[in-house]
Amino acid sequence: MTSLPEDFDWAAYVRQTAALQGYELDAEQVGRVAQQLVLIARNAAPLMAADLSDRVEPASVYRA
Amino acid sequence: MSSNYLSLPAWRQADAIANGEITARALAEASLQAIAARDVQLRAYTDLTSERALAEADAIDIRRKNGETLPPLAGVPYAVKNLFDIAGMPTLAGGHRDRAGAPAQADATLVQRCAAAGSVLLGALNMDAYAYGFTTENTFHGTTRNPLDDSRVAGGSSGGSAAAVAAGLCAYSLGSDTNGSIRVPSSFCGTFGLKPTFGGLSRGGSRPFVHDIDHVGPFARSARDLARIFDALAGRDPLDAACRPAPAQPTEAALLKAQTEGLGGLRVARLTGWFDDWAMPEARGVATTVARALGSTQEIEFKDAALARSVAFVITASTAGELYRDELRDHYAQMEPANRDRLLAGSLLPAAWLAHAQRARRIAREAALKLFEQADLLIAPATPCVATRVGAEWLNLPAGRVPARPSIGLLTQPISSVGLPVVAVPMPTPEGLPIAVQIIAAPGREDLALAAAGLLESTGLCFRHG
Repeated sequence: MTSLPEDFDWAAYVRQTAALQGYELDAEQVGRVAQQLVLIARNAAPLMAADLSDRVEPASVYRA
Repeated sequence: MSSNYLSLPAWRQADAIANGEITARALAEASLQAIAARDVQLRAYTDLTSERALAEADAIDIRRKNGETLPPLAGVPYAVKNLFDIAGMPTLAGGHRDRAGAPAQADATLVQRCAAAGSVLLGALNMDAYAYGFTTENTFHGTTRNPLDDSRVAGGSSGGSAAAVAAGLCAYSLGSDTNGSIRVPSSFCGTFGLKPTFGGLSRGGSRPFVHDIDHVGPFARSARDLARIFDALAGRDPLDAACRPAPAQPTEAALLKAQTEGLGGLRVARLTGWFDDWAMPEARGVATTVARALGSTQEIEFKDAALARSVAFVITASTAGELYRDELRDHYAQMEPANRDRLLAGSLLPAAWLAHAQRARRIAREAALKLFEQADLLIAPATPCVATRVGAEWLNLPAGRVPARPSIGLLTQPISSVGLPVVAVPMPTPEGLPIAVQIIAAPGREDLALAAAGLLESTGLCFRHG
């Protein structure tokens, strides 16, 4: 997957997607949630850089 | 004095009850007195089940009096992280809104199995709210303090489970581990901890956090206890689709054999790369000590450790966010301030990120399984450092400065992400506090990891409580 640009506007993303989920967030909450998304995105970097073949299936979980 | 028995391993307590040195009631009463004296400061427990404990203890004493053969953990006091259902009590999972909620109708599967093994339930234990954290700094139930140094955290999210065992406030406890929540508090408090293979113990009747990475397992003061508890609790459960069958042979027997005969040529390798880069010298030091003590002659690298950790981070954020979405929307103000914004952020992640993480997890898992072509057991530190101070915001590690609360599991996440069984073995560091070493085995081989932990314990190298 493509990595995000450093200056990606997470606050705008939060405002759009929060409305989609039915959250009503004030400006402070938007800022805090955007900070958390920056942290998640930073930790997701190795994953986003992984170039997966379309033959790679999701790892199975249950063996029942 | 019955209080003298409180610091003994569970297997010794069971022996003492079976041979009449002490009654189960005396041990339960001594445990409850110790909790009353110590837990005001420690905050390991959120609820006590005193009446139930005494009734369960009396039942064991009657069985002994009648000459019955007692089950393997008869009369041994234990407690469970407050995400396990206890009949008649609300299941909190570290939150507080559920305090007024409906009580659980039945015990969780593992609580039922502990009871069948003769154990005596003392109560429910503190945790990071929703199991999302590594420090058990809980706004509603207080910060669980580290029994070794009360200016430090106990680790999390099963902090109460580790602190109670370390302080002698129960013989063993149950916790859960999604990203390190058994291994991190074991490391910080100096207890032994078992995170089984994914599905190795039933999660039936426990509050989920991340369904496809959640594991449950025991904490104890000896490796032998972990084996006995695992043997007593393992086995399929219709309430948990992931649950595996019990091992064909008891792991306690394998551990005892290893203590007298050694590991029989098992290949042991220390993990390098990621596990060195993110570990302080004292953490690398204990891993090296353990590897040498187990006869390791090789070092290998899990090259996809960073990917495996990243996979865990994204699956956790997204899955837990979705799980708490309604709660976040309707009761945000009543949720834990320390992690509600992280949960909310996770619920907003693009679905494609989660799908990508689930596919990348296959790559990471295959890479991890390949390591077992070269070795039977892998060795790595459980935490980058000793227990952090209460309120610590940052970790300064060799590979960089990172926020403490989401990063304490840097060395545990790559392993649970792919479901491998791990025994956390506490080791002393030069400054006196412990750091646990992860002894990691292939799926379903808890017996090997427990045997190695038992052997290590018998050498006298492991951390010992004063």
